[in-house]
Parts: sequence; C-alpha cells; structure tokens
Amino acid sequence: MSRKSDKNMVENKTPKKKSTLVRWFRSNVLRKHDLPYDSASAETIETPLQIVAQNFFKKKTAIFGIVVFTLILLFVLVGPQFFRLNLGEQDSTLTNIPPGSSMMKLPKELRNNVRDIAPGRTYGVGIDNDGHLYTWGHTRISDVIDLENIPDEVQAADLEYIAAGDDHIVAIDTSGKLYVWGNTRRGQNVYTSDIMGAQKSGKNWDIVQLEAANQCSAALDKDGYLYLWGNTSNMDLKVRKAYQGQIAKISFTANEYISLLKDGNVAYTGFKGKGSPFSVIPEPLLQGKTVDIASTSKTMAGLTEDGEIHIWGKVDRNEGAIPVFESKVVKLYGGRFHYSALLEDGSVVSWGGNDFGQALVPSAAKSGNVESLYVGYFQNYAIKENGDDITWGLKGFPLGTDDLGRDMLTRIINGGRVTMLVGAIAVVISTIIGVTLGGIAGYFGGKVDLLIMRVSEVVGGLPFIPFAMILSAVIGSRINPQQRMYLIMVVLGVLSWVGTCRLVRAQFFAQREMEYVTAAKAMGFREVGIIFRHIMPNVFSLLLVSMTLDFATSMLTESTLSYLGFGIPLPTPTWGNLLNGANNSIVIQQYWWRWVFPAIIFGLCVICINLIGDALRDAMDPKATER
Amino acid sequence: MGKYILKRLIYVVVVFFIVSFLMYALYNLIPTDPARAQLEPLKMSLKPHEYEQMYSDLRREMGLDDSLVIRYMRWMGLYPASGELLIQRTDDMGNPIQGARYEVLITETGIGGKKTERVLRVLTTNAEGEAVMQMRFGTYKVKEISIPEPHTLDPEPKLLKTDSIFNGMLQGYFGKSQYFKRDVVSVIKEPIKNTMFINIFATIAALGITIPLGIYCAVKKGGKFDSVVQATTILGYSIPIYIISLIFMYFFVVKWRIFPLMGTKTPGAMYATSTEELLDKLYHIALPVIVMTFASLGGMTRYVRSSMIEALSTDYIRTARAKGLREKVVIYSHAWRNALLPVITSILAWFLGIFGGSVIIENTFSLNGMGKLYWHGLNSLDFELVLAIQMFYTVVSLLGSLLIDLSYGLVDPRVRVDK
Amino acid sequence: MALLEVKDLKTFFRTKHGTVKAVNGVSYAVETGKTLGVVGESGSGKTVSAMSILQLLDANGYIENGSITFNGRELTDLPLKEMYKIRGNDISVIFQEPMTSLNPVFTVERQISEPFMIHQGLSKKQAAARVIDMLKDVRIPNPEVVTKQYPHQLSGGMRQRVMIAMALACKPRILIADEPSTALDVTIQAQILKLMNDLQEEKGTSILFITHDLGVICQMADDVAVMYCGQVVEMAPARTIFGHSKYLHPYTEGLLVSVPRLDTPVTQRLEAIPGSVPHPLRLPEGCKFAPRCKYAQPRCLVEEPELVSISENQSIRCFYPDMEARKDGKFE
Repeated sequence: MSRKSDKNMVENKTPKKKSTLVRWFRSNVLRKHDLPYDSASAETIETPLQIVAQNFFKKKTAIFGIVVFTLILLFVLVGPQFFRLNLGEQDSTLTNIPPGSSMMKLPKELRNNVRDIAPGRTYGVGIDNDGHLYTWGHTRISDVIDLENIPDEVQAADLEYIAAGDDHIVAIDTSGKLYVWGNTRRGQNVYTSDIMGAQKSGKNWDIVQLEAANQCSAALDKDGYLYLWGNTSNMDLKVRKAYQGQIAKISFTANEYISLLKDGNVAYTGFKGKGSPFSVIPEPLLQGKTVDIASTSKTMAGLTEDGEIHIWGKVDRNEGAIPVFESKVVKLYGGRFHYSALLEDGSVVSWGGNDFGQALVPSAAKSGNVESLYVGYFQNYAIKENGDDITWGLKGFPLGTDDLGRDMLTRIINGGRVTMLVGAIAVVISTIIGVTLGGIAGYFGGKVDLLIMRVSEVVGGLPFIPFAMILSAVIGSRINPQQRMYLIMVVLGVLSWVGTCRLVRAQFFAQREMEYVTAAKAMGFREVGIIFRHIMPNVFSLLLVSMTLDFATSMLTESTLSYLGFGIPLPTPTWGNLLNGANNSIVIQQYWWRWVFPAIIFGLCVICINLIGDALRDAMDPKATER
Repeated sequence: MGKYILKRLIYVVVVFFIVSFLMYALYNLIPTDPARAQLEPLKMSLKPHEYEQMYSDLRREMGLDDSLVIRYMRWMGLYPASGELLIQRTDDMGNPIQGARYEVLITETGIGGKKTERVLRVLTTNAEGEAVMQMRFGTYKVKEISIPEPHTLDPEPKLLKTDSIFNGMLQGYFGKSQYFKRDVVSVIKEPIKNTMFINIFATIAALGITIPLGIYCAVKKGGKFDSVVQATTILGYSIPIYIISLIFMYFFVVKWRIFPLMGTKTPGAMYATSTEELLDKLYHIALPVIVMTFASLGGMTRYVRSSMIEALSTDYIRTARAKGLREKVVIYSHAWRNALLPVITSILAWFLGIFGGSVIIENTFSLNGMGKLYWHGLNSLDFELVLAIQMFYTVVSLLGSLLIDLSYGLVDPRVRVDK
Repeated sequence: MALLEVKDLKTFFRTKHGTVKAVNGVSYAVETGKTLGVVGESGSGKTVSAMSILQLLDANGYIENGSITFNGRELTDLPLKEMYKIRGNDISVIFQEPMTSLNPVFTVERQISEPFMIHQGLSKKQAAARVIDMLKDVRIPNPEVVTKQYPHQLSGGMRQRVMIAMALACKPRILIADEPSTALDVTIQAQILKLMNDLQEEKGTSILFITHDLGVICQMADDVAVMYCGQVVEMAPARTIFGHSKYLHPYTEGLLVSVPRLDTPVTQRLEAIPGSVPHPLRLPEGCKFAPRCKYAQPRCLVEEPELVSISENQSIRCFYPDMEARKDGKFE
C-alpha cells in the first residue's frame, strides 16, 4: 500500500469523525499530501510539532498569554524568596492600610527645618522650627478619622513637642498648652485633675518629654513629675506616689511603661508592679548608672553609662541580638519591634525586628554626623548635622494590608504559589486517573468500557462545588492544614478526571479504527505496541491542551472552595481565600485594595492560561480557526 | 423512544441509589454523635449511670448502632424506621383481658461482652385487651408480669415483632436539623424556592442571551463583533464568579446604589400585598441573577458559536442552500437543529455549573437559598440537613441529565429511531 | 443559444496566504437536453465553477470576472433574492457525498417537500403527496415508508436517490451533478447513472456532470470539458475524445491511458500521469501542465498556450495538439 493511498483512505474516512485529533491529523499531515508545493519543497516536510509551534506563535493572544503567564509564574515562584510569608504575622497597628509608599516622605517645608518628629504607626508628624505642624504618610487611621485634619488651634500654635500614638497625636506648645486629636473616643484627650491643676498653676509643668502610645499619652516635667492620661483599660497609667518628682525619662511598651529615675536607676513606677514581666529589671540597671531607656512593644532596654545595653521583657523579635558597637552608645531609641542607638561618633545602629527594613541602617546614617534621631513604630528618621534627613524602615505597602495588618503583596505572591501548586497537582492527579481509566476503557472496550463510562457519567454528573465542599468538610475536619492542602488537591483531582478519561477513550477508539492501525496489525505488530507507538503521541498533544485548560479550571475551583472556606484554610493564603470576607460594602469600597489586587492577578493568570490553552488547541487544529 | 426513556429512567434511579448511599456512607465518616449532642444539655442534671442509661437508650432509639446499610435504608425509607408493638391478651374464651401488665425486655451487651436483660417499658392492656407502643422496628421479648384475677399468669416470655412503619426520604421525611431543631423539610422549604427561582431565572436569561449571540457570532464569524464577543467571553469564563460578584457589587451597589447588597428581602419590611413582596424579592435577587447570567455567558456562547460554525460548514447546509432555501431558514432550521445536539450535551454540565455557582452566589449575596444553607450546614456539621441538601443537588443533576437525554432524543432521530 | 453559458469565469478565494485562483477563465456551455461532462483531478476547479453558477461559494470565495447566463439571464450579479428562485427550481444540484449531504435530523419527506413548498407554494400535505411521486420516480421501493424515515436509516444508494428526487422535485432545466456516483459502490454507481440517464430522457433535463472518472463521462456526457488548474484545457464532444481523435491535449491523453479499456492490449502497462497537481498558490509559469507533461518543450515552461479551436467543435489549450506528431517528437 503506497503512502499516498494510505492517506487518501484516512482522508475519506475522517468526515464522519469530528474529533479534534482527526481534524488536526488531517490538516497537518494530509495537507502536505493535498497541496505539495513542488517536488523539492515536499522533501522539507515539517513535523506536526513544528507546525503546531508555528501556528501557536502566530497568534498574538497566545504570545500575550504565554508572556504574562510566565511573568506571573516567575513572580509567584521566585517572589516568596524575597517576600517571605510569616503565617503568624499580624499587627493590629497595620490593618487595612491602602497601597502607598509615602510613610516616611518628609514634606518639603520640613526639610532642614526640623524641631521634632514623631513617627506614627503609618504616618509621620513633625514640627518645623517655627512650631508649624506637618503630617505625611497614611494618616487616615479609620473610616472617619484622618489625622491630617489638624485642629485650627493646633495649626495656629507654636508647638514644641509632638508625639504620635496608635490612633492619636498629642502636641504641646511653647506656652505649655496640650493638644490632642485623632481618635479621642477612648479618653485620649481626657486630662487628669493633676494635669489640669499643674497646667493652671504652671507648677511642675515644664514639660521636657512628651510620649504617646496605645491610646494614652505621657508628659514629663523637668522636675520629675510624670503625667499620664488616656485609656486606662489596657494600660498601666498610674504612677506610684513615691516616684513623683524623681522621674527623668519614661518609655512606653504596648501595655506598660518604665521610668528612668534621676538617680540613674530604672524603676517600674506603675501599679502593676510584680504582675508584669517588666518589673524584673536587670541588675546592672539598678546601680545608678543608667543613662537612657527605650522600649519596643514587648521589651525594654536600658543603657548604662559604660555604653552597655540590657534588654528585658518578652524578647521574641531579635531585640536581644545587640550588635557590637564600634563606639560608645549615647542614646537609645525604640520602635515597635526594633531598637536604634545613636553612637558617640554620630552613627546609628539598629537591631531587632526587621520585617520592614527598620533595622537596616542605610550607609549614610552609618557613616556618622547624625545629630538627632527619631524612632517609632517601624520608622527611623535621622537628621544629620547639616540638616539632611535619612529615613529607613516601613515606607508603605505597595498593595496595602488586610484586616489583620498583613502585607497584601506578600500574601498575593505566596497565595499564588499555593493556588498554582494545588491546581497543578490536582491536574496531574486528574490526568493520571483520566488517562489510566480512559486507556483501560479504550483498550479493553466492552463491559469494562461500559462500567468506566457509567462511573464517569456519575462523577461528571455531580454538582462539582457542593460535592467538593462535602468531601473537604467531611475529611478535612480531622486533619491539619498541611494535610488539608493535599486533601484539596486530591479532591479536585478525583472529581475532575472525567473529561480526560473521555478524551483518551475517544482517541483510543478513533485511532483503533484508523487504517494505519489496521495496517500495522495486519503486518503483525502487537496491539500494545501500536498503542504506545502511535496512539499515545497523538493523545499526548491533546492531553497537553486539556491539561492546560484543566489547570485553569482547577485553580478556579480551588480558589472558589477556599473563598467559601472549604479549601485551604487561613492563615495559609491562596488566591481564593484572600477574597474571603470581601463581600461587604465596607471592604468593597473603602478597602478596595483587599480584593482588587488579588482579583486582577488571579483573573489575569487564568485568562492567560485559557488563552494559551485555546491557542494551543487552535494550533493543533487550524481548520477550526479558519472556519 | 419509549424504550430509550425507560432505559434512561432506570439508569437515573440506579445512580440515585448509588450516589445517595455513597453520600450517606461518606457523611457517616464525620465523627459526630447526635445522641450525645441531644443529651448534652441534660448531662449536668443527671447522675453518671442515668446519663449512660439514657445515652444508650437514645442511641438505640436513633438506631445509631445498626449497620451502615440498615441505617441507609432506614434513612432512605426502604427499611422500617419504627413500628407498633401490639400485645393482645385474651382469656381462653377469646375475651379481652384488661389490666394485664407486661414487661418489654431488651438485651444489652455490657462491658466485656456480658449480656444483660433490661426492662425497657411496662405496658398494661386496655379494655380491648391490647397494649400498644410505638417502638423502634424490631423484635422484642415480652413477659407477662401480672394479670388480674381470676386469670392465670403466663410466665413464659414471648417474642413479639413490631409492624413496620417506613419513614425516610422516599416517604418525604428528610430527618431533623440539629442546628435548627426542626424538620429538615420545614428548614429547606423557603431556600429551595429561592434557589430554584434564581437558578431557573439565570438559566433562562443566560440561554436567552447566549444562543442568539452564539448563532450571530457563528454567522458573522471573523467579524469585528465576533472578535469582541470572543475576547469578552474569555474574560467571562476565566474570572471566577465571586470576583465577578465583587466587581458587580462595587458598581451596582456601592457606586451607583442601584441594588441592595444582600439578602432576599428588605430587613424588617412589612408587605401590604403579595405583589409588593414579590417585587421586593425580585429587586433583591436581581443583582445575583445578573451576576450568574453574566458568569455563565462565556462558556456557553463559545460553545454555541463553535457548534454552529461546525454545523454551517456541513454538506447538508450546502444542500439546503442549493434547494433555494432562504438563508434564515438555513441557519435557524437546518443548521441550528444540528448545532443543538452538541449544545444540549454541554447544557447539563453548564446547568450544573450554574447550580454550583449558586452556592457561591448565595453565600456572597447572603441569599436564603440551598447553597447558603448547605454552607451553613457543613460548617455546623448538621448531618441530616446537609444530606438532604446534597440529595437535592443529586436529584437536580439527575433530573437534569434525564431531561437532557430526553431532549437529545427528541432532537436527534439517530437516538430516537432505531435503524 | 445554449441554455447555460459560462464565459471567461474567474472565481477566486481569499485566504490567509494569498488569493487562490480556483477558476481562472473558464468557458463552457450546456445545451438544452444535453449533458456536459466536466472532468479533472481534485482541485482543478470543476466543482467551484459549478458552484459559481448558483453563487454557492464559501464565504471567502467571489466571482472576479466573467459571465454566467442561464436562459439569457445573467446570473453573476443576480441579487440573492432572485437567486433563491433559481436554486432548486431552475437549476438544482446533486452532491458527491450522499452520507453527509442530507440533513440527519429531518425526515426524507420534509427534505424533499421543501423545494415544493418554497418554489411551487404547495401546502405541506400537497407536497407530501408529491414527495411520494418523486420517490417513485427515482425507483425507491416502499416510498410510503421511506418518506417517513431519516437519512441514517437509508443506505448510500438510497440516499443518493433521495438527493436526486430532491434535485428533480421542481423539474429543473439544469441539473448540476457533482460527482454523484463517486462515493458509491460500483453496482450502485451503475444504477444511479442509469437512473440519471433515464430521467434525463423522461424529463429532458440538461445535466452538468462533474467527475474525475473518464469512464463515467464516456457513459453520460455528450460534450466534455477537461479542466486542469482552474482552466479548461480541452473542450470536445465525447465522441471525439473517446473516438480515436487526431488531436488531444496531453493531459486528456494521460487521463485516457490511465484508464484500463477493453481494447487495451494486455501487454501494455497502464500509464499514470507523474507528479501531482501544483499548489494553487504556486502555479507554474507557462503551461500549467508542463511540469507533468511528458512532451513538455522549453517553450511550454515559459509561455502559456491559449485555448485554440482545432476543429469545428474541438478546442485544445496546447502548443502541440497533434498526438501523432508529438509522439514522433515533431515539435514545430
């Protein structure tokens, strides 16, 4: 049988079977027979694979899809190296922050003109040398409160000190008048009678230190009198009488404060006393040689006149990893999780929690000449002798944060990795099951085929989402999150093999009836050999298409399940559960970044995969596109 | 055709039982103990041995100790759930004896496999000489303990069997929701209406749009309009439905304030007329239906388009044209009838997709539907409720497939008519 | 004047890779009551030229040039509305594939009654009665049963009879038969051809018979047009071609010798035309057949011959139409 007639027969047969492969076969292999250009070019026959590739890259959408998908894939695969996911991460001071990078962007007017700076949790406030106030960064701390709305009287006043708390700002002017704005619902602006009295009389009201923290504030008089006010329910806001008039400096942690006394000792001057882990003050700090104190949210630090630093409290963010200093430490500052120290030679050293680079001192600040340093929360502002400012720490979140203060970018990157991984493995599982069952059905036919087809009909006929939910709920209730992720892969795989199975089976049947298989059989080749030599390569190209499209579907399903709370459980991020809880009008409108970014990248990713899949299918079946 | 329908019917019934059994078995894997849950409130007020007693009674009452198959059949209504134990006592003359007292005994297997007999209940015959008690279906040992004079006591215990009362799915009893403490039927009555309503609404709307659109695109294939539709439909089937919901919510609810955000009715609303109530409901489900319709457009439009293109390129379309048929007749009669075949097959998957999608939509929009209830039931491990809803989904899909098969048969003579 | 006259017809197709000149200047005519056989390999443009008559081209095909007159009426620029009245009524078509040319979801009755209903305005009932008549005409046994059946219940031969019945329903003046017998078994093929001959005698229909099979042409046609690469290379009465003519196009000659005949000596080998039809987008310069022609001269490869009248009713597109001369190597 000549090659030509062989193909002719195939061609005559094909109109009856409209399977993709046959059309592909017909148009890619037979075209060369139908329309050979001439005898010379007929020799340079392109392989089907080359033709597929050619057709594929002819489509603009395919190129777009493959480029964008590759970018997303890289982003998601390489990204986690740089944006490490910390599952336990959450910070109440960083919730629902919109995208931006202006948290440490000093206003022009303040440059070279700084009297005081107070770094707030996501913003900054500063006073210039004329006592004018400036704010920058994300000042909108809740739906209704924007710290940018400075009261008129504050704007008019000649301010001397300023301090920023979690949700309020306190300032004092040169005449000793206090101002508080921001969230005042928790008594942030309710002064105690001591303050009122002192303010009125002017006695013991020469304020040298102003501090603000978690809904409370502190003002320290030159003569050692400490005034505390604000929300007393979560703060130890009392001063033991014995210490009044002795205090030289105070420092706030999240729920307590400590004082440095004028005699060079550190003391827990609040009422909680023994109940607090901070009351156990390291011995060296009780020898009258302490010159400075600072605190983070859970630790405290004291500096002795020898330049030694002692940390105590709940040290869990590397606060205790005090570096070796090249010169003597003169002043100590504390952020939320990190410490910064100003050295004798005018350089700065930071250590401790470095989630946002707040302990990563830029070389300009390392090299010295720093005159003053303002540290708070996650930010550091260093002012050099020449008035230049150097900042390091949290600039902002490029894609904002969620309701638990987690960086959306990090979660999107890591979530993408989980979603893609789950999707990919689910596809692999479903393909393995589909190919095996489809192959068995196609190879054996008859009753086996009937049985497998019935089973596939049942599985394919079940409403997918409810069924996946029930499987996840039933089995998932007894296993840990890691196992649950595997479970979701298996569930998706087990429920979505039907398409692949039918495809493989149909190919088996279609190919078995092809003349070339009959011919091969007639020539004495064993059927198994024929299948693996001839049928499998053809099936493989189709599988590639179906796997691509299934990959998109699996990702969609995983994300849908996770969105409903039956997929990968929080806090592990996926592109689905990132959107979990986004369906209320506040999130939709006010915190749009919490759903827009995950939606965009996920949508884009699935679109690209579908574009690739479609283009691939069209490339294997050019007839379909021409039609 | 009759044979074909019968075959499909039998198939559907068999699949229903297989799937329902699998679901039941699967759900039995959940480590819950309804008996313990029911007794929990009483636990503090009972002595430990009383509690144990009540617990084992309740377990028996609920039939929790039976084998899986028996429980399944009982749940399905194929095995008697309960029955009346009837004791009749007459004297030798056949006259009824009133006031005879009987012990109903059960055998319990205690710790260490020791079997003990325990009195479950004491019954007294009435004037007709009968004592009746509703019990779990089974055989009980009954022993006469006293009998009024002058009759003589029959000390020999007898084995009596209850009659059978079926009370399962097939009888319309879907069990009791542990969470709502009500019959499942009453719990799902309202949601089922809502779900059917929005799904059928969305299906009709989607078909009404996709079919003409797909045909138009097929006829004008390669044109500008077609390309735009092709591009949009890729968006449609690539973006998950909940993201589409969020986008639509953003514009229609938050930005333009056209539709309410959630729920099936205005909270606290009192309706003067039922029309008003219906209108309010329509107003509330409008956005979910729009989202569902939009989300299901993509796949179906593409499918209609490609099968229409396939049909239009066939030889018989050329024949039809050569006959002198108008183009409209060629497209809508000759081509569409054929393009319908692959479309019908895909409609089932698509319809199921819509139903699955409604689970998401109902949760996103907080609609009081089956999907929402299902989600709720799964979260609160409400065994019987979830099973009932799962059965609802199964029945919907099976009926859907049956319907598809039948319409396939109607459209395609090759299926309907034997050679 | 001929009933149907095709003059200098050029039908082109726009494709991604360029314009395919499927029919490039074809002229032929069908006389009343006669059969014109158009013969050629696949891709020679024979079907396209016929489909151009009824404007049944694919969406990317168009008539570039030329005229088609039917009964004195120009068809190429006829609006679709008018064309509807001609299709299936004055001119009808039988297609090659009876398996796929009938709509699988409609009954035979519905498919045959359509022409009656649209062209003659008959009611469904009247049309149904006529369908039975038509089925009888095409010698279908049990027409009452067949009329209610679906195509998949019929054999290939039966389906082709149904196609013929459908085509002849409105007593068309011209029947275009596009390889009506190619897909059928040989015995069925003979039956169908006989049927067509009989019906032509009964009804006086003119037939435009398209085939690649010279044997069939010999049996059916009065006149023959041989096509190659979108051109008519030879136009002659069947008798001239199948008789021992002095002049013959080398392609026709090749076709003839590749068919076994009763008078072919047993010792003579059947000759095949070497090579294959060129790609429509890369047609050779000069004579289109030259690359495959065993008599090709240098001139043939650069210069394209015209269709020249050799005798009163024979025209040939060749520089060397004289068979004897070129066989003896006399080229002048």
